[in-house]
Amino acid sequence: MEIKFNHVEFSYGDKLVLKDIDFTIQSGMITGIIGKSGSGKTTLIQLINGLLLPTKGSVEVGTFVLEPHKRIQNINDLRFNVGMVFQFPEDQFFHTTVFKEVGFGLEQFNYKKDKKEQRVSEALKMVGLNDSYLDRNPFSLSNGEKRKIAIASILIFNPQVIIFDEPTIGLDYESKKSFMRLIKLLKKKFQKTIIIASHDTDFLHSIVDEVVVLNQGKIELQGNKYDVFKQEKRLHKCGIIAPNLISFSNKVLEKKKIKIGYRDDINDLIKDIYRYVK
Amino acid sequence: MLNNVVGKYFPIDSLVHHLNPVIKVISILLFLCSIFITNSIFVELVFLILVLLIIFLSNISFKLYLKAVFKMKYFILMYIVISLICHVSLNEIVLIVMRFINIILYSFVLTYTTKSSDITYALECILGIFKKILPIRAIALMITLALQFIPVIIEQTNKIIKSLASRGMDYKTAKLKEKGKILMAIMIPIFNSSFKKADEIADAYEVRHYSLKDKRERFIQNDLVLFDGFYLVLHLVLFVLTIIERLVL
Repeated sequence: MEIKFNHVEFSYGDKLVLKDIDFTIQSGMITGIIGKSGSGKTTLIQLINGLLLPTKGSVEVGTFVLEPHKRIQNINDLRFNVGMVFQFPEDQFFHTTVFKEVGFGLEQFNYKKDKKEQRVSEALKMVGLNDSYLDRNPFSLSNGEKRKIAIASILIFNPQVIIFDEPTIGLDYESKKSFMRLIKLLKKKFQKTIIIASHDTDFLHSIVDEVVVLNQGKIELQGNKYDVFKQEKRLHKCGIIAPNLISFSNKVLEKKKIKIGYRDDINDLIKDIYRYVK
Repeated sequence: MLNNVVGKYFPIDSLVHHLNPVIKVISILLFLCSIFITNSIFVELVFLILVLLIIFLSNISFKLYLKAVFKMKYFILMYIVISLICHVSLNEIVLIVMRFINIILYSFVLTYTTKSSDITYALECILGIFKKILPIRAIALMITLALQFIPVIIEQTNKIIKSLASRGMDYKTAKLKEKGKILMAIMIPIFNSSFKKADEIADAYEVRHYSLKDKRERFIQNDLVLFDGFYLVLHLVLFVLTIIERLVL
């Protein structure tokens, strides 16, 4: 499902938050939206599933078109296709058991009830949790588990596009790794279009294909992740620190005039350096 | 910003912001007494002009005040409908509606231009005369926390409504029955996060050695200036005139 922003503007009252946003998110790709706090990341992603409507321009999500002051009739069809995991999903639970919380989406999107149990188990399994969690209270779980429950409650209705808002906040190293594995699986096995809004450049660098950099509501940079991340000075201007692996490669190139290339993984980078030294 | 205005403070430099909080609270009390004493539309109109003048001096967009009045539209409409059904005279309906508007506007002048800590300080000072029989400090602290919670709860509600919408339960497009269901669903997380927040605030107070028993000093001193005197005298004069008007007419 392709997502197209056509010269989009958005304002809260008099405050203009997004200015002339014009870009396309390709289907089946992982796209990272980066920007410092207040740059408009969350607003931009909320425009994709119709939680907000643009004040100017339009957003095309597959066959759905979101335009100013025009409420779309089949909004639930759009939301069925575009799942969203919020920044603090743990604050947004409203059921007292994991089973009810994860299965909530199915009821709203008119799924058959007899399939509910099976689907809830499958969704939990995808995020690395087992059936022992079904009767537990989501409010009493750890932060990492709460986030997994929030992701499972979106995965359960199998949306084509999945949006994550600051997914790595409060996650430990292991949880981050397992989250990365899940994202890669969703892309490779299920061909999902994934959008991640975050300012964790190291995390994004290791996972995304395309990057959009927002600065004060405007697109500052966009394109292939290597093309974007190598522009350290411009990123710095936007209040963003380039990923460590890219910074290291740039420093080697600058100081020793050795081009070792850009790698997603530290092990690959070390192998490159070893090969060069040898 | 316009959506969450209830209980918010706007830190702007203005004459009304710089007023002594004690004077502000005494003035609002005098104002409320005055508008309830009078039965004249003309006097209510005078008070409305006074409120508009104070709003102008507060340097806060008038839109924000209108938004506050607009939020009470159902309440006002309901009153008008019930009054019409009960054959209440038009004069009386206009009088009560003006009273409502005056109260709403002046209350928002107070919350928009005064920090909750300053309101507490003012209440503490005013209620100080009862300190031997009432736990004034605890009451003032409770009021501050309650005021601080209003915007937090509104923001939290908005978050949950968005979360529900993204999972197929949109409050905006829902039917009346579904809206009721959504409001019920919201209650659990709101209570949950409110208790969590209250716990966090209690811990934050405790780690900073806050104790209701200790005698405290204020970091910011609220000295009285000439404008404070003028503001209080103006309210006092209007209060006295309203009593005279009520007794004479």
